[in-house]
Amino acid sequence: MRSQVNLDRLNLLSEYLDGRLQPKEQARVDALLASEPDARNELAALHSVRKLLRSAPHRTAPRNFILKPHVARTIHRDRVAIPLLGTSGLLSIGVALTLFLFAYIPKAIQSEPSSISSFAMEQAPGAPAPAAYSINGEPIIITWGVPAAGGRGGGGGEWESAVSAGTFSVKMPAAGAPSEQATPQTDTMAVTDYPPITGTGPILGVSETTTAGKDIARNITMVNYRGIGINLLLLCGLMLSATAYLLKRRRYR
Amino acid sequence: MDEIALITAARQGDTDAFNRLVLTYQDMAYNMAYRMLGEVSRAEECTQDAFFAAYRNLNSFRGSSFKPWVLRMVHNACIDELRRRKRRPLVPLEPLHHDEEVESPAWLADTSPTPEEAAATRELDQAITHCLKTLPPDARSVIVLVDVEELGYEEVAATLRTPLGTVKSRLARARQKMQDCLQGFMELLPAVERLDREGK
Repeated sequence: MRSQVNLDRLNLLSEYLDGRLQPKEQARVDALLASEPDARNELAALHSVRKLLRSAPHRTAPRNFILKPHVARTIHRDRVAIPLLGTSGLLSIGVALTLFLFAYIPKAIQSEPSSISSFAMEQAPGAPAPAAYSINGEPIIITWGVPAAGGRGGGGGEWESAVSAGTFSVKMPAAGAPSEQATPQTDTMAVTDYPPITGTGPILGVSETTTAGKDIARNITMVNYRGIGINLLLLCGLMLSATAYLLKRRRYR
Repeated sequence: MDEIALITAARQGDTDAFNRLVLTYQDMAYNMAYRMLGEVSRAEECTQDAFFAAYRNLNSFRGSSFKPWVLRMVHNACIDELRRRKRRPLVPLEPLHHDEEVESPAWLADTSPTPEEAAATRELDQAITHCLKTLPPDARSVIVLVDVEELGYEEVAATLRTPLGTVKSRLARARQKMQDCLQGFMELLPAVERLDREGK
């Protein structure tokens, strides 16, 4: 508390010394100086410091600091180049972020609403079946060669054997017929045992004589050029911006 | 040609116009840099840097007076230099204390009519340089601008972009600290007063 009072008095005396006080405050300080010797000493000390500093020898420039024309041209180039560098950096970052948004965000957005809408369509009473999933208004039931469980649960026991046999069936029940009671044999197409494709030459660069799975895994590498491009652009933008910032900090003082 | 016309011409690439501004303010700029740093060579570098920065940033000049603006450049250059020096301390070639006198062109430049006056001036200069170095950089800027360069409070506030109240309180505290430091050099004061009387 006492130091705060001293600090206030110090500020007041310093301003008094420079003649910066309003008449009312000045009268208050005059009264203080008349009554308190400490305040007078304090003011005298401040006065002597100011006097010393004002009487200090004034240094003159040891040389002229004028700009020579060739130096001025260099500075002028910097004045254009550094903001250009900064702007191009920020532009690169902006383009990279925009590409990122357009490349990846729509996939994330699309995946969620489609599942929601299909669920909603399933739940909606009397809603028409989408054309892609129906033939003549009837839903297609694909049983993949496995006997239908008929809502009774289980029924997975024969799945492995059915798949290994390469058999699946597509069941298309008649209009109006309840799907649960339709027999698996009616309107069922079965496709069995795909023969190996021959005589076509290489498919996707894989010759027919080699083992397809191995060759695809070995020869075709999935390169995400778009992702690499966005990352490179972002990196360039960040580097340009950082360089411009550092140059500006160093030069534009 | 007034300042604004010179600045306008300099903005359009007229180096001569800018150099006329430099010649007007270079002594003040150099003196401030010297008082801030206490070293001749560093002060020279900072003054040059400040004028380069002023030329680069001429387009951002919005004020009516060039002086506070260019002094701000000097202040910034000095603060940067002080920060650099804090990171990489250097041993100065100039004497820090009055008992380490080294003759150098800077000291010889302070020519006075008599040897006694020259000695008193030199000692005073050394004492002030030493005591200014003990102040924090912000307080040092304020006291140099007000008490050495004799700028008004408003000009200092504009130069340092600091509120007026902060300028006043920093100045008061800086004066008090200088007074504490100069206690050891108070025998210089009569010499100064004598010089003042003789000057008058």
